[in-house]
Amino acid sequence: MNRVVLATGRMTRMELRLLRRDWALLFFGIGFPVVLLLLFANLPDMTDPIPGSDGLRAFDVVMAPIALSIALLIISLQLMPQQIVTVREKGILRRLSTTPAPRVGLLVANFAIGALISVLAVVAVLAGGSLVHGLALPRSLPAFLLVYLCAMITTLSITMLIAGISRTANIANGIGSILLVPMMFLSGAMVPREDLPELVRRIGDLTPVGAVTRALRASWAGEALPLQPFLVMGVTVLLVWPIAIRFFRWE
Amino acid sequence: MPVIDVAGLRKTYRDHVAVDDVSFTVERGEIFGILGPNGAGKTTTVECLTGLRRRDGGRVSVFGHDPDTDRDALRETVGVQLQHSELQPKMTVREALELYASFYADPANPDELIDTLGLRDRASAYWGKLSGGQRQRVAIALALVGNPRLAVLDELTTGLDPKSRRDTWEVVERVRDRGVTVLLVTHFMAEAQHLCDRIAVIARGRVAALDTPEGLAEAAGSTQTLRFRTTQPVPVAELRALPVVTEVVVDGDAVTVRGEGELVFAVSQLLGAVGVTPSHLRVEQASLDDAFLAITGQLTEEAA
Repeated sequence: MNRVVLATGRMTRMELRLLRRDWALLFFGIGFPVVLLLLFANLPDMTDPIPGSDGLRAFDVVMAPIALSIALLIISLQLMPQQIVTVREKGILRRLSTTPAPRVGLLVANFAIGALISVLAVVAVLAGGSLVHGLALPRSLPAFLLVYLCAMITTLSITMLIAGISRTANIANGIGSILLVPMMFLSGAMVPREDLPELVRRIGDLTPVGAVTRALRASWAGEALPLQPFLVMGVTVLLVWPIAIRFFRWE
Repeated sequence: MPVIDVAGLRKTYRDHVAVDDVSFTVERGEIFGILGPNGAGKTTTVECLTGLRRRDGGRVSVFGHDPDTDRDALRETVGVQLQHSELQPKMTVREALELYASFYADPANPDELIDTLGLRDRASAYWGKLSGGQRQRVAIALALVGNPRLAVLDELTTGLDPKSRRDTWEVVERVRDRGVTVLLVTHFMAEAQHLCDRIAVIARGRVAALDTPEGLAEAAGSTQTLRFRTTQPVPVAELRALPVVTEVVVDGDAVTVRGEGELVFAVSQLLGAVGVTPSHLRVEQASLDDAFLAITGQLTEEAA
């Protein structure tokens, strides 16, 4: 048991070190949402205060959560599956499978780098947004952190599913891209949630990303957190992990 | 108990029979070679021994464990070097060795392995920046870092220049001297001849021959070829009359005599008696190459 923990720690440290050397991955994962948020600020009415909201603007309570949801989507649906499947395609996992390396170590290490990129992304979005457009920080910081943590676990679980079922990096890329567009639509990134038809909005609320966006918005506005998004995230994680483990492959 | 015991191993991919019927045993401390032409089933055989593939038939035991059902028991004691295996391009040599060492209960010292494999001045280099030979040596180091009792090395010197190949052979011999059993897959005759205590020649998914390198060469025929030059008249009829001689060819001043047994002695005695002085005298023995061609060629003919 002790050795599993040690080896897992080693594998995780190694992955983090490799991440530090891979600027493209970091830049894309972190830079993209910041640029997106700054572009959002130029949309009409974004920076006008919402009446009766104590000075909050759509830029704060709508666009920042959307930028973060999109960051999580890109990291979990595109960057991370690509990363994992490429390592497998090169035969690195096959080689590892002949050693006593713990399988859980692989999952933990990849989860850790996904989480680190996600955390850096949120820091970058908050810092970039407040520097350039005076982005209001979430009204309820503990609630926000809780939501973001749950959101990270949910989206990175989907990463493991895609990485598990995709035989090649191209397939992983394909699945990620196919999922990305409807997920962005349902999260309200393309059309604000309020402008979606009632049925679509209901469906959106039941998708992992719709749930993430909704919970992030609530925490930003300082409203009471709705229960439904947490149920959706919890069910997603519970559904996805058994499949990911079942389809996990070394080669 | 032998280290490896294989009996009637069989593995098919869809309708293609990769390994038809392979049996052999490997004893402790041996360097055992699996030699064969490309596509003969060598790699599939070792993959079935290391648990990377599940066999379709036959019996396999490695240290008394079945790789299909008891793979976990083998990960600790069997070190593997795979064909075409890569590492993350931005992982350094030392990082890779230390990472792999951390997986084992009783690992070798990564630093010592770096020295043994002559990687000292590349220890901090990224794997992606290494030459083919250096990558190969890293792969061997990784196969040894768990202090294995059995090292399986698949095509270990493919793509190496002659100097690196020699160096790598030395490493394998040193590994054996430490008491590690080595299973070596190769299609290089010279490599098998140089390193192996015994060789299984695999062709078309079957063991076509199994012997020491010398034994294989002898079995291929004891034919010797003697070549020399002379400007004096050659006693062709007398040479042909020698019981050990099977063929005499004279081409200008070049003479080729083929035969068996005490050919060299008989021919030089005769030449001495008639006063002919041979120059540029060369003797060629049947080599493992000939044996290999004879064994695998025979199989191809049978199939045709």
